[in-house]
Amino acid sequence: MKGANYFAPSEIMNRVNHSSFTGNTEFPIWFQPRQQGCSCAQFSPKALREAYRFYLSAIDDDLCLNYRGPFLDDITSRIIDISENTIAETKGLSKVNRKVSFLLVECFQNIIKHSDHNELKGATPFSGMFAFRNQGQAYVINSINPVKKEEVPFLSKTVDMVNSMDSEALKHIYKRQLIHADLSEKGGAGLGLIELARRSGQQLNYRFTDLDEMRSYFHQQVVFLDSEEMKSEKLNHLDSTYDCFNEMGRSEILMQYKGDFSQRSIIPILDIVENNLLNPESGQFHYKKVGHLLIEVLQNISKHGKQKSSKKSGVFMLGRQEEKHYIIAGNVVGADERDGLMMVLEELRDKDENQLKELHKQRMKEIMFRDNSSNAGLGLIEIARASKGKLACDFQKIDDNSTFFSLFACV
Amino acid sequence: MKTNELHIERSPDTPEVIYTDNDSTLSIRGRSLPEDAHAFYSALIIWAESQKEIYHERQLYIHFDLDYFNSSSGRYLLEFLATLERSLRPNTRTEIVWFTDKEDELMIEKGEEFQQLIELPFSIRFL
Repeated sequence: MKGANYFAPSEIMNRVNHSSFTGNTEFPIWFQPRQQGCSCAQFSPKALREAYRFYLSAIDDDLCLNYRGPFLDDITSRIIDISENTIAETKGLSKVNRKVSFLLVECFQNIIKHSDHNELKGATPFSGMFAFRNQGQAYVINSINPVKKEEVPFLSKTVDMVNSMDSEALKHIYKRQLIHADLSEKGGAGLGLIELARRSGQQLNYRFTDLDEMRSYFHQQVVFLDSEEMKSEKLNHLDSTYDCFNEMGRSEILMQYKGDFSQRSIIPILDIVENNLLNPESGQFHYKKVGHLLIEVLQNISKHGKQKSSKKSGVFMLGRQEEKHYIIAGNVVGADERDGLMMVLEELRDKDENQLKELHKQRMKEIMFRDNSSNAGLGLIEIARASKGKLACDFQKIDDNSTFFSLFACV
Repeated sequence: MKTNELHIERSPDTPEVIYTDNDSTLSIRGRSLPEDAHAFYSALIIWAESQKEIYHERQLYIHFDLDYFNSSSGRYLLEFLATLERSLRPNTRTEIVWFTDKEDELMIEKGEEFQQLIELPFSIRFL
């Protein structure tokens, strides 16, 4: 599906003025997909809608991070940085932070223990997934990773055993395992599972599905509840995580995120992307262009995102298509901001690289001569320039006061 | 003589800034990604403004060695340079040097943009 077929020559401001902005009408703004023939095959209205679909699928999540990339850097510490913002904002409980951090690290180590070394280093596409969600007082960690078929009986047996034990029994078996340290790989995995069960205080959910002749996928869910009244049985994300895993695979999405977009969260996100997802082999400075685009897109959400309490909420996803990367992002904006964004976007529409460069220069001159005290859409101009016209935007009405703004950019 | 010294430590989203009278060089090094760069760059802009208080003949070098900066930083970097341009006395010999990798198209282009907007001597040098 190429964007060219879906070019909507919309007179944006006309539509706004004639208040045809009713219902969930399609409202895409494309930037030159026709002239330049975007080589990014993911560039389609469906892709543009992905941001809203993902936003709705994670509507109750304070934080949702789905990751399908290689683990080159210590991703756990970055995820902890991001989750600490969310948790601190909502509860200010460092005890919860420590528990959740511990579980995240333990889950990661379990994945790494079972994974093929080449996959971890990004030499071959990573075939597993890591997902972290925080809904109010519930923290759910899902992972899917390939394991050798011969490990399946041992893993099943261990998880079943761990699930059948109360906390005293777990403590006992943990100590016994430590003393009789069976330092084989299996022993290590067993210890990790026991620790997950002990620290989470909940049953571990798991299942296996087929991958190929030699390997199965090990699906695991670890839940931590910061409330006595909650029931973990209601939090079964094994199915939805598998759906997401497959969808991300099909669309070659490396990472999806819904949550806070304040600077404290953006920086660790950027570090995850720069240190893990951008392959330096695809050109030494390609990663820089992607990073440049990403930071502007993320900060654009931060600037325009409707604030829910003190948090700035939005979604973004990063995908890779051969040598190109694409970013889909979205957030809820109010009516005024919607109109403001449309106005800036309208000015950018149909401008080629040189015209955008001129526009940027003009804005910078205005700043120099103090004609303009605001940033005057500099961020959006940078986004349009960085994506070299491979940019599309869409507005979907939610209700009279709020609209979902989506953006697709390719670099 | 009025002291000019400036030292701002690097943070995850702001660069290191150092000026010492010893080598007459202001160097700005690292990455600059603050969401609202005003807070960070106001110290630099004030420093630039204060240069008009220095009357004696002298040299001043401004060295940029930035990995990357965002659009908000770009806006205030320009304001810093424009303020400097207005504030420097004619007897100050100034040179702005923009250090970058010769393959870093993005940062080369950014350097050229400032070069076109600023009248002070401005050179782009490859590391």
